[in-house]
Amino acid sequence: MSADDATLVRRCLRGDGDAVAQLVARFQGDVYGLCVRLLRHRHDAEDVAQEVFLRVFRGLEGWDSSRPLKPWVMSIAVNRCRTHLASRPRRPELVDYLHETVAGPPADDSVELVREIRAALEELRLEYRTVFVLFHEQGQPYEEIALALDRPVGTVKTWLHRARLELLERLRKRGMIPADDLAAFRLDTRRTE
Amino acid sequence: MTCPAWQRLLDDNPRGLPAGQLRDHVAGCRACAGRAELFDFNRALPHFIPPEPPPGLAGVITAAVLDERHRRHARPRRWVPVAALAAVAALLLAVGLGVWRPGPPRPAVVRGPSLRDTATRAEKAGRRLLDNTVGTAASLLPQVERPIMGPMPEPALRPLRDTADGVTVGLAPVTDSARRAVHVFFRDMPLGLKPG
Repeated sequence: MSADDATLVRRCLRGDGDAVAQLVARFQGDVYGLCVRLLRHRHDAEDVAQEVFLRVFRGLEGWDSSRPLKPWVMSIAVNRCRTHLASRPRRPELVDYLHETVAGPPADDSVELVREIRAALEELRLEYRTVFVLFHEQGQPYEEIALALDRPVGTVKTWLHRARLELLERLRKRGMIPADDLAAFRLDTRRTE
Repeated sequence: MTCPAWQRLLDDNPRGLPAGQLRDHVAGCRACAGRAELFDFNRALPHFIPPEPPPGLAGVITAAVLDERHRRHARPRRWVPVAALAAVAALLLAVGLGVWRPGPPRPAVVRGPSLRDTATRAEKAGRRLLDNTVGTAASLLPQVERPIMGPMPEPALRPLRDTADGVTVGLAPVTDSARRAVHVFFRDMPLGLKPG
């Protein structure tokens, strides 16, 4: 746990409004990002993110200050998403991937590729999807993901491995490996030899 | 994708490997050779960008948190008078129903007779006992028979007064005990009740 986290939490508990805003600003990106990926609905993600922070502040007095704050916040986010998914009726997904996937101008067909991978990601089990998003999208270390999911690090690694396997399998089924890419790859390999 | 070496490389580089490093790996790895999807996957990873929260979301959340906190802090104050009234009512009800009672009453102190009366009474009792004893002994003296075993020397007749004195001496332990008992009784009396 960083001293920064502890100080921020103490200020929040004293009723410091600036500290509340600071804590929200610090974690809103990760919480909202995870909610969007797991719920696949932006408006739901906004509602659930707000609910997550309400619960975070309700339970802030019970936070174990010997543990890092971020995994604790993310664990609440994961649980709220699960609850929301279990309770909401099934409906069409409204996430538009195109405007969120590429930071810069894509050099090739990466937009399409990322969209395909995201679509494949949505078909994964919730646990696999969660660890994939936390690891590859948010760049969180294994230990923090394990704390957030309340699972051993080994389990997190296994889930991540299976997530990658299933993603590649689905990509293959969707025909996302063009023959000319494969040929180019083979040429490259020969060149390196 | 089942190659453990490539898994490890990905674990160390969650946002994808540099293309050269991946190419080197595939070139030297029999399990990964010919798998173009590794390149695709690796190429896609850097483009996994977390969705940006909509502008203003942080403000909305902060306002909701502060509002809820304000309501939670304000709520107990509204209930304080109600709770106080309820407590007072419960107390009154308990007293009215006799749930709350004082402790058991202390026994009243009974004043005994004065020391002078007690001493006088003890003295009279002692005299009465002495007179009875002496009288009984005196009435029994003539009935004492001569012993069967042979003649005994005729004892000299002692005057009745001497005999009574002897009996008095013999009964001295009894009377002493009675006196001591009276002393003990007075010694153990509460201070306020002791005479003089």
